[in-house]
Amino acid sequence: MGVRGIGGIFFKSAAPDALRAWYRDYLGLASGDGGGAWFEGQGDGQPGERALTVWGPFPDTTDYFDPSSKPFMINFRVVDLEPLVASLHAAGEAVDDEIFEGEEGRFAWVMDPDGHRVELWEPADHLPARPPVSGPVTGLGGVFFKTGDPSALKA
Amino acid sequence: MDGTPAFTAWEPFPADTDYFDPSDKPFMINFRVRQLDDLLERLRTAGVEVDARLDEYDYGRFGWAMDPDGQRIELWEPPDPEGTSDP
Repeated sequence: MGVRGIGGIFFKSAAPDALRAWYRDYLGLASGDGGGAWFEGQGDGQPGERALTVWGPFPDTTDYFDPSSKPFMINFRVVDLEPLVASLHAAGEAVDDEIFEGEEGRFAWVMDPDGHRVELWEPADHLPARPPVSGPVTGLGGVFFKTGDPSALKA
Repeated sequence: MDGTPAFTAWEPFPADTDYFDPSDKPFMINFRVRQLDDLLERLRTAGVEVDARLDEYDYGRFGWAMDPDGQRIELWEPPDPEGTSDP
């Protein structure tokens, strides 16, 4: 499998700016303007593998999670995005046709059986290093969510 | 890169779990933290809703708080401060 780890958790907020300020003040999360807070650690795969994770509130009017109706979206960091997308296509999964090439890397999206839109991210090599955090929070420890059938999703 | 190993869990829960209560959100985020006791104390002093509950396991200590959006957040202090432990 091409998935290396959690790349981020994005969720809808009625007041994302206020929420970013709260997380900055109490948990030390340093969000960029209108963006999210990045954490960087060392991956547990190849030596030197980067493990970037992003925490990011979105306005609740965003269409970024469409067609999912869930108020959150999980991003997985992957290697070899193309074969992964091809295998999802081949399996008949609802994967977007285009791989998006962006500043931060390459992205693809697929719907899981529970109706979550899942973001697959192959980070760009040139992404700037993130400074070590100075606040109490050192990283994302986990993303938990409710689902109708946990065992099916794990499969 | 600061060399901190970054372990992040992904875990689906049954739809009827009460683990995220009193939040009505269908998701919960866990943050790795250092100095959990100090953090919880600061949050309480600031008037943030913090659980009285504090769980201690081999793989770390856990506290919970509610954010202004009504999200329950889990604060996890791994036993080794750099957070390599796998719960």
